[in-house]
Amino acid sequence: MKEFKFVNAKTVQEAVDVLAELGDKCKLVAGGTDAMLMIRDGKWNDLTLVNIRDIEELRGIKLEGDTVTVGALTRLSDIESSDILKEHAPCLWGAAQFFADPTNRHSATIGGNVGRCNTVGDTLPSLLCLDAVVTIVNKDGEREVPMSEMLLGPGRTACGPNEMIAKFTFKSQPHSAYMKYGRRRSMALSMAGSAVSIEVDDKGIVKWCRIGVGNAGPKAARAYKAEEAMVGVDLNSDKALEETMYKVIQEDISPRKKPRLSNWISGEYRRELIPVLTKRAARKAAFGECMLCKQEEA
Amino acid sequence: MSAEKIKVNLKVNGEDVTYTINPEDTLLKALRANYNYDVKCGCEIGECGTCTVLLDGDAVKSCVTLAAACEGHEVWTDKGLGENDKLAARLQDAFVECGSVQCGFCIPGFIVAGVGYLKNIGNPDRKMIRNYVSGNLCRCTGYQKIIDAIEKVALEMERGEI
Amino acid sequence: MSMHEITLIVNGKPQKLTVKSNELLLNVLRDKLFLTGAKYGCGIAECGACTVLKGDRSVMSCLVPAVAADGWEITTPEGLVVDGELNAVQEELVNKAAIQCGFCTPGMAMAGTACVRENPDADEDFVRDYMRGNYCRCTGYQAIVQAILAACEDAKNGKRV
Repeated sequence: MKEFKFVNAKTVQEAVDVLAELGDKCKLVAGGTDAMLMIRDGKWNDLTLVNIRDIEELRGIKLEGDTVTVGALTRLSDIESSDILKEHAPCLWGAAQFFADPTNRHSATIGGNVGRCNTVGDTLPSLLCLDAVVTIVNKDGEREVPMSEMLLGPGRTACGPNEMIAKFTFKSQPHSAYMKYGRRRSMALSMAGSAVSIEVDDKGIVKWCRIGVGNAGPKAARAYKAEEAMVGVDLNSDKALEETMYKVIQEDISPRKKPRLSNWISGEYRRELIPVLTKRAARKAAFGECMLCKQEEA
Repeated sequence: MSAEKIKVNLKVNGEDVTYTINPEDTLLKALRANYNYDVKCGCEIGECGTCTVLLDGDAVKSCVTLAAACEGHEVWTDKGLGENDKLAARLQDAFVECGSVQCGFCIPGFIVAGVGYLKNIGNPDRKMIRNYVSGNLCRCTGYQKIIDAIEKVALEMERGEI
Repeated sequence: MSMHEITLIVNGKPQKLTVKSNELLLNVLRDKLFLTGAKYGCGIAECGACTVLKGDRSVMSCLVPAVAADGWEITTPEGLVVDGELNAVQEELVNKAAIQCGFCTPGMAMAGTACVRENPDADEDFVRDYMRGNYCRCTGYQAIVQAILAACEDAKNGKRV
């Protein structure tokens, strides 16, 4: 027996008030592309659905100086068509090109993708490599959580039951890219994904990088050891990368020898796949394109 | 104990309507319960696209849209577009001309997505068309003729014939 | 395996052919004469996709040995089209949206034409009974039956069938 109530929150204030009062007896609904499935399957029941889709103040992409802000209710379709993100966060812009399908992108929001914290959420690796800061609001005000501390596990984030995600902020990183591996060009859940933000010198030697990996384990995560291993490595050399990043990233992300089967792709295959995706993402980020693969753009 | 129904006021196919719904109802359910049978129920999980409608001008999948959240918003369906929008009517004819229709079940979703493409992008570029309607599935036709029809209208738009 | 010289009059044209004793009329039409309108469906004369006309009567060509058709006047689906114009049955199949995947359609056009030629005053029961040898997995038959009934009317108004 389905038992729901509905509240239409038109402003952030209205939303945080409801959240303060109801906590985990309510669920925020933005685009609905995930929420409606939870309702349909009976996983959510006996609670209040809070529509936040009309909260204008949480939508939009801004560039101020070299800082980019993306509102939590910004739709993936707006991210896909954003010139600001194409230039300043191509990893996120690129992720949007392959996120679900164009129709779903008119509904899906970046805040929803992060809030649901699916293992294969397509915006997560990019936000990780961008080292984004998540602004979370509640009745008492707001607080900031670095993206690297935001994702706690499948379906769990640092956002509490009385809180909501307001926006994501990060520095402009034009040398960033996301490589997704999925079964199809469209409407494909990621089987694995790697996002890299990087700086190389004019010979292609890595100065620093940040790597966000999707579907490497129970949650998308930073590959810290691989990031360290990349420093000083010649990005043009397959051999150099195999001897450094490849070895370490497999330990980084899935310490078990045989990680579990997940999303139709075996742990073993992912262990082989993720280093390669990371290499390609790093090259695309640093050089503008990857020598071996030209991932189509929409 | 039964759940309390609520009312939602929105515009559907140009008309102001008030639907009485359950708080958790999808837009698909609300539309069909109110005689908009041209909006089809396919997978109900946001994949097949046969439930596609325009919400404030953008193609969305009504099976994963909360009906209550559409308060104050505007919805257009395949039939409504065909009756009120010249471009949509032309596209519907093009589907017939190009032999794009077999069993017909996916067609309402494709028409709406096609209209969305023509109004928001409009290039007679098969690759772009294919990408835009990639959220719509067809088990009969193999898609060729559907893309032909959308391309045909896009070309007519480019030539200023529409 | 013996070879035989036969003559088939196909869509008005005499065709001299050398065929094996076990070659099927359907395959001779499709593979030797490249008239691929008639389809290979079941191969056991049940589905009707292979239907052609012998004179004005419908015949399932998948179980006719070519040698047995020596001297026949055969019309294939292609033969219903004259100067680029469909006959009434074909036209109505299009008009009534009686075509989905299209595989049964040539057979429906053939058997439908035989039906109209035999009895232009046919009612729905007659048509449904006459067409019982032609299967369709897509349409549910309704539109096909309506098309043949409409073609009956067309025939009575002088349209070519």
